[in-house]
Amino acid sequence: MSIDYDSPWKEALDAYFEAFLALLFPDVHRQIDWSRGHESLDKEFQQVVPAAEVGRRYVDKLVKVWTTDGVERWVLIHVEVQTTREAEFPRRMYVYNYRIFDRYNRPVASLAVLADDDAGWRPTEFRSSLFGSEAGLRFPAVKLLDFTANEAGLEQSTNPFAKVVLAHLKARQTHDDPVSRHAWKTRLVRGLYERGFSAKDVRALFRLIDWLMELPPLIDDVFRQELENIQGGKQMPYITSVERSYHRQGLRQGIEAMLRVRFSEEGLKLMPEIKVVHEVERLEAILKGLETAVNLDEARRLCSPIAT
Amino acid sequence: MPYVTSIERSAHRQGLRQGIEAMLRVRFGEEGLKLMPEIHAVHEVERLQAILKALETATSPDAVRTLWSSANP
Repeated sequence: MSIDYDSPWKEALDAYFEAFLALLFPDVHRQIDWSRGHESLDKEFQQVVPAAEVGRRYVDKLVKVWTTDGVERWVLIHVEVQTTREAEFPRRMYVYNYRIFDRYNRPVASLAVLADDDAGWRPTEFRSSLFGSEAGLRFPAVKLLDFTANEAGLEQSTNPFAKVVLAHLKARQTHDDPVSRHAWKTRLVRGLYERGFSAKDVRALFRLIDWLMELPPLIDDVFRQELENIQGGKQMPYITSVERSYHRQGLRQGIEAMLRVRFSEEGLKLMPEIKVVHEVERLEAILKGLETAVNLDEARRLCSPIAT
Repeated sequence: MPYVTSIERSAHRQGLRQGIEAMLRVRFGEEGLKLMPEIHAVHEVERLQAILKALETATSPDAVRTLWSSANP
């Protein structure tokens, strides 16, 4: 399974920046006044990244925060997932740190998240020297693999980012084992309900877990059924309510094909009415009724808003 | 890039398969429904959409079958 880890990480950093720092860089988190909020500086970051580097799949994020003593500070996060880029990574951190310093005339804290699988790769600095002249950057770095020793802690944690890190670790561990990945994915999603996350968090974290822990389509169908069971027992259908729009979409496509086959262009004139039907059960009944409807009038009655 | 979750894809497949089943019954009766086990083995949303479309004009169940038997031997 080839998985795009970068996109879910970008989304996770956008959605859970404070939780991210609290979990991975607690010393930094402690020095920030979170009551003042924080702000993504995407435009400012793009200003210092040449066009040639835009579109390359890096996870970099520049964020404005305020310290507890009231000073505005900038933090630059780099997440490195692919081991193949490792040699270039500290150099890139140095370059971006310097570019921001130069362009905006302010210091920036560069923080590294090493999300790769090589336990021995632990860069903490970049150095460049010539003729006794030296330049460089030392940076805090967190190795996600180190959290493998405390998976139970991640699972118990009420920090939403702990779920992202655990999903990431489990996704890497089960790279060639869909059965085990399926079991962990179900366990992680069930945990969202058990930890008492809000409806909004459950939906957002489900999306991230789902993205990181992709399963083969056949298992997806089983997983979806299990999810209904998990939620059914709890009366909290946070996740599966979203999926219904896709079920509707599939049914409407079936109804459209059916109308064309049975009543040709005249039949298709009923589609605007079909598009405003939102109950899955009602669409199923219309599809079924259209199989045997004897004429266009009967089809029209089936699709009309007042039909029962 | 918008991300569609696994259960959203699964729900879309379900709706399309229901449409395909109804179309098979209308176009080819019981003979057509014999294709359903094979339809359940098709997982790409795009391919299910193509099958649904082809069912509008296909002249026999075998003509529909070529849509997946060629790509999924």
